Order: sequence, then structure tokens, then C-alpha cells
Amino acid sequence: MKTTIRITTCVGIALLSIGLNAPPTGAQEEGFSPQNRLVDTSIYFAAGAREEEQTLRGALGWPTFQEGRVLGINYRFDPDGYARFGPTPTLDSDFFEVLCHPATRLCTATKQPIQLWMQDRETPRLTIRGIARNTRVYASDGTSRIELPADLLAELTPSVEQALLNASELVLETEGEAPQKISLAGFIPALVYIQWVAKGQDPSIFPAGWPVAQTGPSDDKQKLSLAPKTPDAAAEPTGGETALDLQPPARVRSAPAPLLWHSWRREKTSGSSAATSRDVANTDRLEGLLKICETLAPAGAARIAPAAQPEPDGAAGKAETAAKGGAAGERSIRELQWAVLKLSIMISAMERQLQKTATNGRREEEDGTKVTQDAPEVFREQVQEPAVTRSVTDDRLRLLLGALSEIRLPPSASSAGDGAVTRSGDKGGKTDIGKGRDTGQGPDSAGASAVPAGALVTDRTSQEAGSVEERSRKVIIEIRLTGFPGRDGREGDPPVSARGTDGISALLPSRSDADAVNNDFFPLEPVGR
Amino acid sequence: MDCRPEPDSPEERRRRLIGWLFLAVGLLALVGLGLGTAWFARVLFKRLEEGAPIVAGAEGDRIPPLLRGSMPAATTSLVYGEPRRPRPPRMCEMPPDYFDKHRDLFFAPEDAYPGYTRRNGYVRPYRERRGFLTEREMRAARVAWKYFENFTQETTGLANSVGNYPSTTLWDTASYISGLVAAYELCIIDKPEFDRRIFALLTTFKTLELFRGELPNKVYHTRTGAKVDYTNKPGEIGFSSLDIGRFLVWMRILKNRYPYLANTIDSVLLKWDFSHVIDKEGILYGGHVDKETGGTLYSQEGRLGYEEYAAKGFALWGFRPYLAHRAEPFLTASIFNIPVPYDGRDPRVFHSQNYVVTESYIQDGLELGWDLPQDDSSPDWLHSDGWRAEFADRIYRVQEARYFKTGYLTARSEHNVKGPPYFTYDTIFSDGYPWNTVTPRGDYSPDHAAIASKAALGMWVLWDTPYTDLLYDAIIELFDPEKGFYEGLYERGQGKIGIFTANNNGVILAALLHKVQGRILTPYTGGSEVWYTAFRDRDTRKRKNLPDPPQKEDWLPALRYRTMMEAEES
Repeated sequence: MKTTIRITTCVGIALLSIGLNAPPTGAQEEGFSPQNRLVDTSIYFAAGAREEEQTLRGALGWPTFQEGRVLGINYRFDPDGYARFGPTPTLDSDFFEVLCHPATRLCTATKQPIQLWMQDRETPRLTIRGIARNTRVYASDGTSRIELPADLLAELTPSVEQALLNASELVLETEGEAPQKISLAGFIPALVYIQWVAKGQDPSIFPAGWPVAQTGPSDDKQKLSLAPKTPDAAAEPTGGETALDLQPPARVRSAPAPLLWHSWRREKTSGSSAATSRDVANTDRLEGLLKICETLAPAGAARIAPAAQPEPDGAAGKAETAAKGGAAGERSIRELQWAVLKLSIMISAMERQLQKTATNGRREEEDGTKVTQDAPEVFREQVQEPAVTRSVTDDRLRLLLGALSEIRLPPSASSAGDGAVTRSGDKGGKTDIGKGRDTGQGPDSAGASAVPAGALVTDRTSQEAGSVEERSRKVIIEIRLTGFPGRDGREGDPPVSARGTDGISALLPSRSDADAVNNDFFPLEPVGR
Repeated sequence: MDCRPEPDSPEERRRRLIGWLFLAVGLLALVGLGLGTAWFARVLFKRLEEGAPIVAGAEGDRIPPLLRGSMPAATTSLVYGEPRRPRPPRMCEMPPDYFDKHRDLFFAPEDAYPGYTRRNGYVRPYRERRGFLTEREMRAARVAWKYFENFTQETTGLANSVGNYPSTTLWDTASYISGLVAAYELCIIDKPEFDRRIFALLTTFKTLELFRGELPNKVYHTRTGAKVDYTNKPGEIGFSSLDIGRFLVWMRILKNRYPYLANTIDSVLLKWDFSHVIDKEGILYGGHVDKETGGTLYSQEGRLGYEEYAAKGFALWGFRPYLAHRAEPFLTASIFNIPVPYDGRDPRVFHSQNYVVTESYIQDGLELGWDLPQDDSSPDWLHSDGWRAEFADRIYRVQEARYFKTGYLTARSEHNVKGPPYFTYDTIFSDGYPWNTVTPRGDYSPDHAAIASKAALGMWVLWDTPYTDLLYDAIIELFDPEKGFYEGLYERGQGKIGIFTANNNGVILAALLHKVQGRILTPYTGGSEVWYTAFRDRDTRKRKNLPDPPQKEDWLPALRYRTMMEAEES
């Protein structure tokens, strides 16, 4: 009898888990039912939202809906959770469409092949449907891109998530076919929304910086305001074309938090994921190195800049040389400062990676299992190594040291304004390594193949970068040149940032070609912690 | 010199005599005329003084309010002395030469020039399809009726609006009645079945709880007959004057076709209170609940297309919806060089979308023949509500033009969809955009654009063209033989809309009936109506705003719109 009960219980649990884990696609194809109500449209998703009545002609349908605008994205949702998130007020194109499973409150946000769904109440997952084996998937902001695992059916890991949060589009490239570009506009609100619905509209799930509606409509619709979740989130990252206010790395890290889901979530659970003492020591060591770099930067720039310019003949030439030398010096200083910033950002990313590593290590110990296959392909090589904790930390250290070597600023640095930092896909031999690897064209192809997929890559012309070996050794920073004023050209978007998928989520200032010429910088997007 | 006058000659004496004679005759004639006039006047005034017998309610009667209801409603056949349009027999009772015999009633003479007539009637440049149903069409009719066989609730006689979801509106109930009438007239069901269904329905309507004692709630539960909200839970939403207008059209069709139902129908409608749904200027109002106070709010309802159709429903029952029946304010949007009329009221100000769809124009054509409510004598080819027929032609032509210019088969209407958003307005024009498909909450939803089955078949019947032949082929087999016609065929290749509705199947049946019988509304053949005579001994009629029988001065005017003609010419 007991055995029977046990079997029955197991089967029941199994069936329940299957039901919970199944993607809720098409769950509402059975048509309208009032029992499918799972969202109260009078509870606001974001500040500025309003509940409206639907103009119905038929006998069925939802009498109300909620609409609003958050992070530059318009949205509307019905009481059954059906929602759209898109940049246009009519939500007529380029939108995420959300369908929810009434029994489980689990929703699926879909845009073309992208499917964002909740595996359970906690875990958002990402799927790209119907892609061929040989399809490469990139997160791109229109100018640079990062390769993602092609067979995405994975928990939304921090790195992938962050790559997607900062990207403006997903690019699918299949051999012999034109690249397919899918806009990621609306990705963040859709991601937050499905979590919010899964948690029964619990406002505590909103990430830092989310414009939370302070009061519900029943109290007073006029009393809505931006209510930051944390003191750090008092202001959203600002876009715009203001000059970069260079701050020490510590200041940068303490700036208002961006909308990074995992970062925020880790913040809430940080007590349980402490890094090892060795990791902390490594981090301290890196920060020490960084401070040295900061101290050395002006001197280094002054030393390097004149040497970078050829000597023109004559007095006029000397004057010109002096002027150019001064300008080049300024550029070098900025390049140097920029590199410092990169390092600070890398450190913060490494700290997050260390936390993850520690957590993974504990999980392995507890479960006796390896790190999940859900990890994107680009990380798999690392996480599948036996001594995960050691290797990742040491790798990061090596990467950092490699990056530090950049601070020596080779001659290319002084001509940065002429295109040392390039837009991927630009003409004139400036080849994005990721692209070169895909197409197999250009002098960078061979070198690029040596770089792990998704690694941060320094884009340089072959002339500047020197040999393939040299470039391979120099690792690993991709500098993006976009993002003003917003990632989609929309007003009010936070500035975009560079990032890598190799576990390093680096946020870099954005520049355009034009700005490269003018040497204007854009505000640094702060790191969420 | 002799001064004596010369003696008269005989000739002169004779002339003098004749002169005296003429004078005497003239005087006599004058006296006679005077006497005659006096006699005539005396007789005349005497008669008037005595008083001619005046029949109550007839000519010469000043009609006290108590008797006003017994007056017959003035129709064109009464006023112009034209013969009333005959009531067509059921299809199975038609002689084989029926359509040959009545050809002149159905089709315009060869020499008839399309355009407006002196009375602002309209002769269309298109022919309707008329004749017996083919086997293929008859199968379609039977399948459409299957919907109502499956989804009519025995307990109330109400039919579900959408599949097995037990809820309905007055609009959809009117569609059910159209299906029921068509099924009977096309000999799909016999009279006992017809009577059983219609009496069950009307009895339920007699007992329906009204929205705050005024008019039927927007939505009712079909199993219980209780008024419900949109989620089908007990509650109340308000009333829709458009839904009520369509329901009134079909009540009038029922009453005129089947006089034995008249008392029942009248008693249903006499229970309603029309004091807020239409005002003195003839504007229609919907009612809804004020969320803040819980009171009732009344707001103008209806936009170009639906508003005029609903207005005619009210006019058929003696109301005077003058402003609701007029097209103004309207604008035109040039789509494929065809000036498509749309409502000029700004949605940003009035918070009501101005959807241009086929449905209301088709329903006007099928049920009312684009005629004025008072018209019971014009032939089918002459449309006395001229501008409605002309606008309908534009709605047809722009959809045909879209097909020829882009290749998209087009027959657009509002329709349900399976899954969210459950309902879409698949418009020809709305919100500033042609071919705009929007959800009730305003999302643009082009994936839900479809060939609506009801619009396609309605167009096929009312416009006999090669293009509508294509539409016919697209949808005539778009059905589940056990459930009825699918709502439509997606334009972007996602297949059929896998949902079955009362409106779709009802309109399809009405379209097929129109092919056989023409205009579905037949003339009223009875005398006084309870609808007009009831409650004359108390103030109920005044309280409920119940109308008197309309006279010629109450008729809705036949108009034509110069701006449309100019736009067309340009």
C-alpha cells in the first residue's frame, strides 16, 4: 500500500513538474475563458501606467487593460496576461508578445524565433526556435556583436542576459543565407513582466532602477511617481551627449545601478555566495594594479604621444608637429583613461564571475554534478574544466594582465581618432574579428579563429595590430563605437556599452566614428552591483 | 332749313331693339348667376354647418392622443398609392418560373441609368445575385444552420455568441434570428421547429432582467438568461444602442413576416424604456456604469456605417433618429483613388474609433435593401436610401481595387479570433490608416487580417462580379460540417480562423436568403399595432418615450451628398 502511495505521489510530482516546466506556448489556444484572469490590471506595472476600458463589440473579451511606457517601451496587457511590448505606441511592429498559462502563471514572451519564458517562478529561460545547426547567433548593437550559443535552450545566465540587455538586436547567420536580424527592443520590460506575473504581481521583483508606481489606481492615479527600489537606483542611467566625467573606478562602481536582473538578484542573495579568500586576494591585487595604472597614465601618454607622430620638415612643420603632438597627447591620455576604465569594469565583472564560480563550485560539491549544459557554449570550455574556481580566476588575472599590457599604448593609440578603434563591419580593412571568423575573409581571419567565441576582442587594422600572434596575446577587448543617444536612437535610452561573453561583462563608454574624430566621450554606464 | 330730326329708318329701329334685348339678357344672366352662387353657397355652408361624418383616426380627425395609436404608420405605398412589395414565398414553395416572372422587380431595366433619382433614390451600377440556391449553396446554408443547432441553449432559447461560450449580446441574438428566419424560409427547418425556437427566445426576452430597468444589458448568460459582465459573471455593463438597433431590425422583420408573432414581439418591446437611448434630435445613446459613482452614464454611440443601420432599426418602430441617420460628420480617405467615407469625429477627442468595415453596409443591403424605413413599395433595384447604397458601393469597390492592385483577396469586417485578443476590427480604414487591423485595446494586429466569411458571402450576393466569385470560392467550403462556418481565412497564410460564431453563421444564412428572396424586410400588412396602441390610457408611453405611428412628416429624409459626388468627379 505504501509503495502504491509512493508511486502515485512520484507520478503526481513528475506530472506536476512536467506541467510546470513545459513552455506555455499555445496554452490559451482554447479561447476566451474568464477563469484565465491572472493579472489585476489596476496594479501598475510601472510608473505612469493607467488602466483603460476596452471597446468591445462582441460578447466576450476583457473589459479592461493596462497600458503605459517604461524604459522607452510601450506596453499593454490584459487580465489574462496577454501583453505586448514594443517601441511604437500602436505596438504594431517590432514587439514582444506575451502569452500566459493561466494555471501556472508562467508566461512566454515571443518575438519571431526568440522565446523568453519562465521555467518556474524563479528562472527565466531563453529559446531561439527553428534555427539550423550551423546557424551562429550574435547579440549585436548594430555595430559590434557577441556570439551566443546557437542551441539556446538555456537558463538566462548573467552573461547571456547582460549581453542581450545591452544589445539592440540578435543576428542569426547561417552559411549561404543572408543574416537575419531580430530587434531586441522590449526585451527588458518583457523579461521583467513575465517575472512579475509569475510572482503574482509582487513589486519586490522589480530590478533596481525600475520606475515603480508608488500607489495603485484605487488610491489616487495622480500620485504616481518614480520610486527607486534602492538608494543606488535613484536615477536611471542617463543617455545623451555629455562629456565623459572620468571618475575613479570606485566611484564608477558606486554609481546608480542599471537594470540588470541577475546583478540585482545577486545583490539580494549575496550573503550566500561569498567568494573564496583567494579570489578576494586576486581581486585586491588587480585593483592595486589598476590604481598604479591610473597613476602612470598621464606620464605614459606624454611619453608615448610624440613618438607616435612622424616629424615633418621645416618650421611650419615643427609647429604642426607640436600641435599634432599636443592633440595626439590628449588623445593618448584619453585612450589611456579609457583603458583604465575598461580595467575597472573588468574587475567588477570578474568579481561577479567569482561569485558565480563560488556558487557553481558549491553546487557541484552538493549535487555531485557538473555545471549544467545550459551554460552557453562560449563558457562551456571553462566551466567544464575540473578546477573551475582556480582556472577562471587565474584566467581572469591573465586577461587583466594582458589588458594592462595595452596600457603601454602602442603607436596605434596615438592615432586612435583616425580609426584605431573601429566600428565592426567598417570598410578599409577594419575587420571585426567575429565577423572575420564567420566569413573567413580578411587578414584577421586566422587570428580571429584563435580567439574564443564571444571573447572581448580588440578591433584594429592589421597594420596596427601587428602579427596574428601579437594580437592573440593582446587579448581581448572589444571597443564599441555606438550608442548615442540611445541604443535604438530613441531618446532616453541608457547609453550602450561594450561587453564580452567570456564571463566578463564590461561596460564601456560608447563612441561613434564621428565622435572618435572629435574625441568626445559619452557617459559611462555604471556597473550594476 | 328743316330742323326736325329725320325719322328712324327701319334699320335703326331694328338695331335699337336688338340692343335692348342684349341688355335684358345680360341682366337676367347676372341675376341668375347671383342666385345660383347664393344657392351653391347656401348648400355648401349648410353641409358644413351640419357636419360631415369623420371617422376616428381618419381624414378630418384631429386625433386625440388616446386614439393616435390606431393610425396606420405612413409608408410609401399608402402615401404615394404605389403597390406594396409582395412577400416572397419560402424557397420550397416557389414555382420554378418564380424568378422569370418577377424579373422586373429584381433587376433594373436595361435603360436605367445608374445614379441618383429625383427622389434621391439610387440605382447601382451592379446587379445582385438572385435565384434558387444551388446544391453547393444549400449545403453551405445547412452547415451554417448547424452552428445554431449545436449552440442554442434549450433552457433559454438563446444561442451562444461564440462556440460553446455561454454568452450573447443583442447583436448576436439578432444574428441568430436571421439564421432562424433564413433556415425556415430556405426550408431547412419546418414551422414547428421555427415556432418552438422563436417562442422560446421571445419568452426569454420577455422575462430578461433589464439594465437598471431600462433596456437589455449588453451581455446575457445564455444558459440562465441572467445579465452578466464581459467575463460572464453576474453583473451589468450597460446597454448598446447599436445592438438594440440591430435587434429592432430583426424584430420588425419577424413581425412583418409572421403577423402571428406580433403581439409577443410588441409585448417584449413595450417593456423597454426608450427615454435615454434616443433624444429629440434623433441621436442614439449607449448607457454604461460610471465607475466612480456607480450611476448610469449615457454617451453618444455609433459611427458612420453602424450608426445609420441602427438608426433605421429605431425608425422601423416609429422613432425619429434624424441625426443618427445622417452621414455627417464624415470625411473621405482616398484609397486606390476611391473616396472611402469614414466618420469625421476625431477618435482622440471622442475616444471612439471610426472603423470602416463591410458588415453594417452589407447588413443594410441584405436586410433593408438600402431602403428607407418607410419604403415598402420600391423595386429591389432602386434603393430609396440612396447614399447608403452609394457608400456601400464604394466600400465594395475599394476592396475589389485592393485585390487587383495588390493581389490580396479582401472582404473585411470585424471578427472574432481564437485566443488573445479574441476580437479584431479588421478595417478598410481606421485611425488614419488604410487596411488597419486593430484589437479592441488599440494594438495594430496585421496578423489577424482575414477574409471574413460573412463579408465575403454578403458581397457575393450583393455584387454580382467576377471578383466576388473569387471570394465565394475562397470561403464557400470554409466550414466544419458539424460546427458551422469558420470565421474567416487569414490573409497572411495562417489558414482559417478556427472559431465559430453566431454572427458569422447568421449573416451567411441571411445572405443566402437574400439571394432567394431579395430584401429580407417585407412590408407590414396588418392594421393597427399593439406597439402603438398600448398604454394609451396612462402616462407609460410618455415615460418610456414610446413613439406614435410615423406620418409622412416623420419620415427620414432621402439625401445625397454633394461632397461625395464632387470627390468622385475629381
